[in-house]
Formats: sequence, C-alpha cells, structure tokens
Amino acid sequence: MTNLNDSLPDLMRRATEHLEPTAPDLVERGIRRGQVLSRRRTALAGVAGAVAVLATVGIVVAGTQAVGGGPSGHAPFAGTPTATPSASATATSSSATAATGAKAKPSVRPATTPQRTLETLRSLLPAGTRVTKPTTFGDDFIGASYLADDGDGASYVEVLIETEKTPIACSST
Amino acid sequence: MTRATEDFEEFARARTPRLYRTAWLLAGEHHLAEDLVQETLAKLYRSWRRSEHVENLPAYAQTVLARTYISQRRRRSSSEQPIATPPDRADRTGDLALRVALQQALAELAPLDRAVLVLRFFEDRSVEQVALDLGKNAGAIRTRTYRALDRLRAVLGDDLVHLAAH
Repeated sequence: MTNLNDSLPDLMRRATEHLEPTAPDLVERGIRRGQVLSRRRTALAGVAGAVAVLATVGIVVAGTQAVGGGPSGHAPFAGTPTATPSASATATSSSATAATGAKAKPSVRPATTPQRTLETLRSLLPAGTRVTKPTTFGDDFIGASYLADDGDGASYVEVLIETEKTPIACSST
Repeated sequence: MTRATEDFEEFARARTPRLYRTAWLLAGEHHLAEDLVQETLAKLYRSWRRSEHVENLPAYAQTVLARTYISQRRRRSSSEQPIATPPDRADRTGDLALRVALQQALAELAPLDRAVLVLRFFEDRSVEQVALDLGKNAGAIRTRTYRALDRLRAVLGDDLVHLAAH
C-alpha cells in the first residue's frame, strides 16, 4: 500500500514540473501593485499624522476653554458640571474637572470594522454632500471609500486604516 | 528605476517560477495562481526595504504567498463559482493525469488544510515551522495534516497506487 506521507512530496513535485506562469509582465504587475500599496501606506501615515495634529489641537482648545472660557464670554464647559457624567460627579473647580476629563478617556479603543470605517468616513464629510458607491476593501488593512459630490462634481474619497499584523516567521531551510 | 526596485525585480524574476508552482498547488488554477503570485510580489515589494532583516528571503516569500492565499480565500469564499472542468490551457505539459488528479483531490480540502499540506510536503517544512508560518499551534497543524491526508487518500482511492508508481 502506498504511503501518502512519503509519496505526496514527489506527487506535488511531478504535478508542478514544467509549470510556468504565462503572463510576461507578472513581475512588473506585482511591482506596480506594490507601489500602489506603498502609496496607500504613505497616505495612511499622512492621515494618521493629520488626525494626531487635530487631536492635539482639540485637546489644547478644550484645555484653554476649560481653564479660561471661550472668546464669546460664555462660561467654560468645565463650569457646567452636567457636561459629562464623570465630570459632574467630581467637578469642584476648573482645574479639577479638566484633570477628571483627561482621566475619563478610554485607554483601549475598540477594534474597528470595514462598515464602521465607512460610517466614520461618511460622518467626516461636510453636511449636504451626496455620497454614492460605498466600498470597503483591504486584507491587512481596512479601506473605505465613497464617491462624494458637494454639488461641484463627484470626487473619490478614501480612508485607509492600518491594522495590526501578525509577524511572519521564516524557516531556515 | 531605483536601486531598490532593481534589486527587487531581480529577486522577483528569480523566485516567480517557484512561487507560481506553489501558488498553483494552493489555488488549483492557472489564472488564480498568477493573481496570487502578483499579490505576493506586491506585498514583498512593499516591505522590500525592511527585507535586509529577513534571514531567508525565498522562504519568507513562500510564507507570504501561503498567507496571502488564505487571506484571499477568506474574502472570496462567498463569491467564487466552482466549475467542473479546470479552465487551464497553459498547463498542458508534463504529467497531465497526475496534475488533474491532484488538482481535484486538493480541491476537496479547506484552504487552510491545503496550505498546511503544501507547506509541509511541497515546501518541506516542519510541523513547528508551519505552525509559526500560519499562526497556529503545532497540535492543530498535526491534526489538520492527518485529516487532510486522510481526505486525499479517500479522494484518490486506487489511483494513488498508479500515480505514485510512475
């Protein structure tokens, strides 16, 4: 009786003998596709940087308002204890509330999904923008896109999220 | 063209025939195999600048291929339409009877089982290495190997003796 454990390597080798890809530009296509993936990664880094800058600006503005109030003369939000449950529970002064607000931030963000990414992208577009062709894509990243029309013509809008990867080990053979 | 791209192109041209044969065993069809090789090359190109830290680039390329195959199959599983006759026209050289028999037998396996068998028996990797490559534990790889071989035996039946005798 044939032992498949022993014969399978030879069967696979013989079955694939003389097999060659027929596309003459397979390597070039791979490189072009790789360049697209690289550009997406670069764009992603740019988006991440922009988000970080916006987040920093948001924190600075919020901190300024918490301490000194807005330019309109309204009371700072830290002075209104009902702003957030955590703030309302502990607010006794502006500085104390600001500190509490900082602590209230969740330390771990939930994992996102293509659908949530699409929804987030939609929420970031200006009000009144008409969107069509919602699309999600990606394997080791999450991509979401729309055709967005603000009335002056449609534009392709895309967002890319780099997801955590499992490192690939290599054999020494 | 940059020096890095030239280096990559040289590597890719040298590795593509081997990648294609592995891809054919995984995908079971010429066009899908070429698509798989293209996507693998793209991923390798994207991380090429970091490749100097990789100890064994050819083995790394085969691992990326297997993982890309599993990833693609996950995404395509709901949209693929199986066909009775393989549409390959480019693969009409060599041992055709063996190729068709093995193609049909491998098609009976789940993508992960197929990847396990190809890495174990075509790439000649140990159970422990395949476990690392596919992010599974060694016990799971042993179980999958056993079940997949069992399935292949059942599908090939008596043909196995004749195929192996050549």
